[in-house]
Amino acid sequence: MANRETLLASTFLTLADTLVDDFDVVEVLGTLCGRCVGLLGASASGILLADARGALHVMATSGEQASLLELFQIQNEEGPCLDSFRSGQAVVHDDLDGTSPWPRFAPAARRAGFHGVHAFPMVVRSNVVGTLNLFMDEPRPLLAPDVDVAQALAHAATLTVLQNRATEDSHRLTTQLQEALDSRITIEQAKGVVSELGQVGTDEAFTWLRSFARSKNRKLTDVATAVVDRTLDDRERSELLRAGSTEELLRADGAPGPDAP
Amino acid sequence: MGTLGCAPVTAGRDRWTRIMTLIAAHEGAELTGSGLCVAGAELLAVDGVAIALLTGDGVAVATYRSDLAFQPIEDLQFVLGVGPSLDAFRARRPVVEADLSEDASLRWPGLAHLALDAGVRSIAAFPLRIGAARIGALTVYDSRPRALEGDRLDDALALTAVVARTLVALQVADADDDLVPRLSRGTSVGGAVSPGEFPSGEIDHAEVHQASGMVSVQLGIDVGDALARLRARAFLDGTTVRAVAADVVARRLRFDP
Repeated sequence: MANRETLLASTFLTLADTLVDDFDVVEVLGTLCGRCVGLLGASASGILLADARGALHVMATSGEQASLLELFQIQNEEGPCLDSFRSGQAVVHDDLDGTSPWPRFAPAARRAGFHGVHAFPMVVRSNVVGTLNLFMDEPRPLLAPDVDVAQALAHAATLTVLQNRATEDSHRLTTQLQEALDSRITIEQAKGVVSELGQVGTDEAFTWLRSFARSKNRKLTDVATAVVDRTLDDRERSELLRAGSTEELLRADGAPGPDAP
Repeated sequence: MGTLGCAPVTAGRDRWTRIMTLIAAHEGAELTGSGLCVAGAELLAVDGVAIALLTGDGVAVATYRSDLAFQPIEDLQFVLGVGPSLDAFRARRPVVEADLSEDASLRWPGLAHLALDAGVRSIAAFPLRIGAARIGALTVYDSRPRALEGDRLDDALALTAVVARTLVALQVADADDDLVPRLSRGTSVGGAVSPGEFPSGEIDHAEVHQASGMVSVQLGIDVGDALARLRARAFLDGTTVRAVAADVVARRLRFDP
């Protein structure tokens, strides 16, 4: 088992490699969320970005469960992310209980099985553009070194957004943010299309989309756009829907989990 | 990046408020296509703004403009099937042409000459989109040869986001009505649609986008039209689009053709 320094170094190396090529911002941020979970002992993590009116939107998560997405959505009204976004400061909250400052968010987070929650600002110069959010399944203090690692990962997430060269004129931060947000909207629309075609949940649909994009070495957003535009050909479409069922078979072949169909 | 221009978030809310205030000031009690254009032209300090509603293959369903002077250029784009607005729409990204007298005549033969004759020196075009759902294009005309950049570009991007959401909202204020006559004759702000509705971010919810995708399959329609159907349903049921979307995603509600 690699120690944390090794894992951290490999996270940044992977990121540096990724950012050189044409990359998909949602995909890379999703990978980063996965690494946050591993590096910080969190049970879930997510990255929120602000739109032109300062509303926060989920860009990437370590898991696409609806209950988790809803916890991010609530934070447009209240929650550690909103506090961190507004103040530009880290919000470290080790123990969600009756005294937590968020009357809607705290009970919802506890119901979803989380007992600690932390948010770290994504800052470009003096502007806060979003936050990195960590959910912990038990109440325990986040130690100073963990805080540093989390903040470093938040910076890495910021760099990813800034490096996104999806459009020719992405030298502007606003353009980059809008582009990233539109990518995410496109992916949500595509999740809906695939979920209806395959009669599966939207979280499963996301897995299918991602598997298909990876197997074809295509950008997730490009695949999502093609799905929404209905420009995948019949063969690709059946491969996409089969990509999901193959993955299910593989999972079933191993140790069938409690949620296996 | 400039030091002054890159403050989208702290300035973002102000920008959004400023745009909504301008639109409200221009529109009075009604929202119209041309009113949105006039407000946009004032916001960006340019000579003209045009909005074209387009089908997926780039056919203009309707066009609106702040000033009739730009109508021939706008119309010609859709007759020829080439031009900055269509480029922006098809590529889903902004097209900024700072000086038409330089190289634009190669990109859009015929069009650049007509534009120059009409006194237009610079053009910028933006796709009106919500994710992959394409609604049309917003085009900015100016008699000065200057690139739309810096804060004005940020304003234009925010304006585009507002207009795209406004058009979707207007489209659904009542489902039986056609979008085009509705925009032309004006829509009561006091009714289903008001400038205050857009900052609420009703449309920009993950479940709404997922439900749009699902309904687009159920009805065999474009995802933008599906979003309109969701909003229409919410309006008829007297509920929110988020609530309707949640029912669709949970498969408690299906749309049948």
